[in-house]
Amino acid sequence: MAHSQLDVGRHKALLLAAWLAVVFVFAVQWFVYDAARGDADPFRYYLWWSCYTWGVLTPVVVTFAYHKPISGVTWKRALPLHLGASFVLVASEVSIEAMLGTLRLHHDLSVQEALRHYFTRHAQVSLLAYWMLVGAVRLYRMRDEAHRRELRSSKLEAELSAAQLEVLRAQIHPHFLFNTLQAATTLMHEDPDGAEDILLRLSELLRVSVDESHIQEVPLERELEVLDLYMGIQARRFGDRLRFEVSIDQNVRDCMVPALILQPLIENAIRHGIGRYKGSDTVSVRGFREGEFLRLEVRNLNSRLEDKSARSLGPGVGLANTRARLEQLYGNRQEFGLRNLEPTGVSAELSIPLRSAPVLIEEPSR
Amino acid sequence: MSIRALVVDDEPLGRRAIRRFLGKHVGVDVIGECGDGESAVRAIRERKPDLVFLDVQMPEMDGFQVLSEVGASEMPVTIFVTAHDRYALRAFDANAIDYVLKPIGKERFERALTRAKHELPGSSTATRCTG
Repeated sequence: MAHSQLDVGRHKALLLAAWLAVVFVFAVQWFVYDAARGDADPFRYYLWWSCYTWGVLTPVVVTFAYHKPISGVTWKRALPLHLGASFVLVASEVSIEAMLGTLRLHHDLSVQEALRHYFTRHAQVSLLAYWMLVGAVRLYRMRDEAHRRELRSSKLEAELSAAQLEVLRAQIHPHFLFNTLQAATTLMHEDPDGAEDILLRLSELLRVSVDESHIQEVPLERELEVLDLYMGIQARRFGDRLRFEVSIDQNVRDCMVPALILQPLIENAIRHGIGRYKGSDTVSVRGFREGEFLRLEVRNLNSRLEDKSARSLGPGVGLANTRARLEQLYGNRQEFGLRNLEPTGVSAELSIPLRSAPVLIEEPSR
Repeated sequence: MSIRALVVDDEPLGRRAIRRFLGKHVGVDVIGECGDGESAVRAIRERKPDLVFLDVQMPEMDGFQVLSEVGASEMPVTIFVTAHDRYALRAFDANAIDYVLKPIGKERFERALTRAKHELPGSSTATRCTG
């Protein structure tokens, strides 16, 4: 995707800037230190020196800090790790300095004296530099995560709107809407209660699809209530031709599911089943626990996935949006697919993590 | 002689709506109902109704396919019944005498029926012309 390439580019530029800044700051610090004692070499000399030490160490520290962040969750492990690492790195930095100094200045200090000399001059500043780098990386990551979280929640919101739109579109589809109203006008003369029921169900369905609460997940129980509105209308329209079977295990009824996730699946099962093939059909909805997952299945008994329709998984954006929403909400901890049943029929099946509280909008586990 | 009518719709309540309207007319008998295109073709061929109310959107064989299967010359006087007004032009192209939209209103239905009666030979009301 374009924006992730942009992110990588920006990431590299920031890394380079941090690297240059550290190298430069150290060169200045050494230069000023020596100049204050009236014993400074040309600035170029300090810059080279800085390149050899912090020039090498900065990428190491930054990479390490990026992959082992100190956060509210990880600090117990990460903090000792960084404490150890900071001492090791500072020790190696001072050693490199001592070695370079000996090679370059040809002074007559012994190795031990050279080490002590550089350690007293540079160790604290190096230690400080290490922790500042860790802090900078942490800040950068936090900003990056906040940005990603925002992006993800806006994507989720867009997909929920698309799901609502899809349900609304199905509701106001002329074939559904006007046949439902036809059913109601006919029932008015034969069965006023039936007519009232069908109109109330239609109203409630329309209300759900223009709902503006932006709730991503609802208990399965609530989703089933919405389904019942729809199934009640379809059952009255098709009479004996259409039978519904709903079997949801008691222990999954309070599990959270994406709002309006089942509605397009039921609509598909009816449209491709009884809408295409004459005779009767049974549409069934099953929900049960499978290990750590909630499994939902919507099937009919007389349609068929052709190669042609399998390509698009049914026409329209309905199922594509279903897939996108599941991916956005649960990362790769979800499954969704259609398969043919024997001898005829199609089953739409999905698995999502079993949870009885709403999902927090966080990075999906990868 | 009364007009023999066939009602074709895949939804029972759609068929009942037409039956109810026709029930108020003494000169019209509903000789049968069909819930899909294939059985409609059979009923039209075997029972030769004078008038058919034909739903457009049905599984497997839609109203237009019924018409082309039977053949325009063999088709009874046809009134299409549809939820979509986008089918209106096609309905006239297919030589339908009229089309009515769901949900069906009484006045619109009466107008379509009057038109159909004019079209039917030997009908006593065929003398009056209401353009």
